[in-house]
Amino acid sequence: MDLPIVNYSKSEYIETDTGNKVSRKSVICGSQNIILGGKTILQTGSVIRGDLRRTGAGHAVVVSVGRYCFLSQGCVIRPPCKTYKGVFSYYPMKIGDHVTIGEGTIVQAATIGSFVKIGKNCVIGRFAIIKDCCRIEDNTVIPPNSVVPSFSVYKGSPGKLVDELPESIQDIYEAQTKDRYSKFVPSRD
Amino acid sequence: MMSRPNLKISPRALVCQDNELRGEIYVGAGTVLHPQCKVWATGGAIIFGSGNIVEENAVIINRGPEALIIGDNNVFEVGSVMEGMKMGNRNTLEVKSHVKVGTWLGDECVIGTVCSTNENEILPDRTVIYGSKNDRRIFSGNRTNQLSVHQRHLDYLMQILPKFNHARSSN
Repeated sequence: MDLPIVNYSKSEYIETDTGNKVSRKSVICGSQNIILGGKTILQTGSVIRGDLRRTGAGHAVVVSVGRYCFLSQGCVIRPPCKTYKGVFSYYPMKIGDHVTIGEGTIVQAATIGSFVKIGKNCVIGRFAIIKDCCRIEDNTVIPPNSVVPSFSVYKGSPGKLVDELPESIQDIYEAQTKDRYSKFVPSRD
Repeated sequence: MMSRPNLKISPRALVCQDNELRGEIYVGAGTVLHPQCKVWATGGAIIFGSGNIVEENAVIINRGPEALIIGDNNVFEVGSVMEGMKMGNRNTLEVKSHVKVGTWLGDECVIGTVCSTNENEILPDRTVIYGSKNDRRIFSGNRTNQLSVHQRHLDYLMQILPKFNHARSSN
């Protein structure tokens, strides 16, 4: 699988010390509560809500994203909320390494494992748990509080198991995300 | 040409900056507009009651000549689109739902995730639209629990959002 080289204008993206590439046109609320693991790309129009933090004093990590993740245009990462013991709060969200999130997808999951590929225009419901090595097809709706097991392919509204993935998928997704990162380069001018 | 929006915001409402507001907009007490939401009153005014929540990427458009009146305690979740004529109280538009042009919403309706209404439809109170085929039914339970959760959600947002976002006020 060969991905094309994607050029971006150097003025649009900020590159951090750890190699994260963050578009200036993305919206990051409460940046002190967000961790990007390194070599993660945040494209134009993506939204990360780090401001919806757990109540209580002290420092809190709201959204932690692993390495080699790719957040496409217009996707929304927002922590899930619920009332627990009569107190309403938002809860932290964790995204693993080598995760691709498609355009226009809205994620309110509790955790997303590593080596996960989520298609375009999906909705991942509140407190959903997506395990390692999964694929969510385009336009899928994963209902709140559901669990997507490892090596599965989910599709539809509500999302149902349609296929399984081979064990080699971990290496494939790892190679793909690394390839994509290396081919996401600033344009010459 | 974008003219400055004409905003009338209650001192007890919370309207974040970096959102797109156009035209004449009235925001009632206790209503929360998250950053990145779009409220376009390109035709008549848009009038929010009290205790509404409009999350990011939600779009509320009024193209018609008359004012769009939105009741109290409604929730517009991420990516929902509201183009209807009127909205009652305590409705929920879930993620990526779409209320089409000319729709009237009663009270306590729920438009499910990725569901949409038909154009020029009148939804009676407590209608729930769900599933991939936009099935409908009338909700028979009671929503008192939902209301208390909504109230707590509002209290939380009022407390937390101003710490991280700048708020707008009337002009």
